[in-house]
Amino acid sequence: MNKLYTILYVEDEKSIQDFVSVIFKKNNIKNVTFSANGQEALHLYKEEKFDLVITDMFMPIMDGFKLIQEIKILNPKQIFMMVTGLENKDDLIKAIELRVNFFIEKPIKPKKIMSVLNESFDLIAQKKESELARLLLSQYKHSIDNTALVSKADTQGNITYINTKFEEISQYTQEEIVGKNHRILKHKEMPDKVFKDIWKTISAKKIWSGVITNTAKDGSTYIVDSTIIPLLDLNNNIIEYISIRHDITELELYKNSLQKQLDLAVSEVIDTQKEVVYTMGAIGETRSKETGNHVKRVANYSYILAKLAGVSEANAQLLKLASPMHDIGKVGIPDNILNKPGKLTPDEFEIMKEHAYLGYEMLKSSSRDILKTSAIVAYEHHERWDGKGYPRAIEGENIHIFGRITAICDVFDALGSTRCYKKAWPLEKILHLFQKEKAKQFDPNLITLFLANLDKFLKIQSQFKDNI
Amino acid sequence: MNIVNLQAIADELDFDLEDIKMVLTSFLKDSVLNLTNMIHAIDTEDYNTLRLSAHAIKGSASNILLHEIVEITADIEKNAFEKNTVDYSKRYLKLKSLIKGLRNE
Repeated sequence: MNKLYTILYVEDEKSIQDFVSVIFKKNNIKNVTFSANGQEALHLYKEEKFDLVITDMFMPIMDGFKLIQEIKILNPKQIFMMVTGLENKDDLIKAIELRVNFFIEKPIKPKKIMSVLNESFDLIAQKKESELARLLLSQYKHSIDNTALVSKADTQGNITYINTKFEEISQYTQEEIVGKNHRILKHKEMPDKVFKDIWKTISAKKIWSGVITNTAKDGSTYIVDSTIIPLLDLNNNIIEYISIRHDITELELYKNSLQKQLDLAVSEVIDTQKEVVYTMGAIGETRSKETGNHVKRVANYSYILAKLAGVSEANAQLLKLASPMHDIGKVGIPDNILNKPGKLTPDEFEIMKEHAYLGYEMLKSSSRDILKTSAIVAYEHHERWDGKGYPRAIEGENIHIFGRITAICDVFDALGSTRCYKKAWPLEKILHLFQKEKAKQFDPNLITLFLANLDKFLKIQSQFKDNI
Repeated sequence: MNIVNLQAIADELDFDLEDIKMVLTSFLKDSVLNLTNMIHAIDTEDYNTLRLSAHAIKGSASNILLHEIVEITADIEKNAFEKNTVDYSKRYLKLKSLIKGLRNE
């Protein structure tokens, strides 16, 4: 019990005031103001707030009934206690009609008055809690209204309330939007499945949070970070939905702009890497009298064959970027061997074979995916399915798929291209070689895929034709 | 008049003796005005004032368990309310005597 509640006790008999004072003092009830009549009490009430007014019925100048009527005008929620005898029923009825909350029967018994006083204090506590809750609610509302877009909707999703911030951002007034469905705000780019997900979540009495793009009344776009909360009654049934949103349009636009800049920067880096790789590949090829288009064709053949072999898009792209470097090791081979018009002697061929290892050594230490992949391709594109290749003579699937793919693509392009020292092989002759070398020089499955999709490779060949 | 046992009243009300003496003193002070109003009302046959004065004394006396005073003021109040022509002076004198007796204690 809070004994600090303020009490106005109105009683004309000083001896009764003294009697009650003793009871209050013994029970540690403080903050009691006594008044001898209704008029004086009313004056005091206008000066000061009291949690409880206790009054006698009959007093000179202004009686208890009149006092209660006057105070009710000032404060309809004031809590009253009346001290009364039970002789006159009419007076009791009058007090009940005035909604007096508590009665103390005369003569005043100390235990009885304390019991009723405790009850009245409980009511005061409830009233104060309720007032505080209302006050807090009002402050919460004020803070939310000043920072967020708030709307409420009925169980059908029809808008029942929007706050000023909502009006300001959406450009709709209360009158225009209340009764309408939230669909009125739907942006054409918002997928229906988002709204299905929202309904599924909030209908299950759960909170939904996410980013929604909306359309304002003038057709402009605004983006909000939303939280939609189902409000439940005491039986756990949904009464309505409240939605609290924060306008993040500027933030999202800034984010998009940053993303575009980042994408552009990344794209430039990748393009530069590609160019470097092509150029490096071309250097190797140029030294051996190959053309720049050779590396481009090998790159595109490799990509197509990788995709046909079931390699992921990301890895196929990686191979496309890396395969032009397959002969980069040739930069370390002397010109007299590299460009020898006739057949190489066994010793010269041994030196020539070193280009695979040299290419690998040049690239293997890089931490970049493209160059690491290039190292694999350079190292393994001269290995053979039957294990008779170089530099390590590994066989079958021990050879990396990138090496097996590049081996086929490189040979296909080299044989099919005219050079100053040789003529291009006819396609039939190349295909015949591929059939003959299936499961010997080349991966049989890859050869099968290559031959079954020959048109795709020929298309690339035609697209990147050498200008001789 | 019976002698009033203040300690018994204090015990009954769970008051200290000093408290009950203080309230009794206050009651006696209030009674001076109420008795004056009462005799004037009897003289002028003002039943309403007579009733209210008796009611006031009764209310105070009942709290501190002065049963004889409560009994006689209740009788005066009831008769005055009904405007009965009973011997109010005799009742007044008895009441005055009871209060005087308290004062002497």
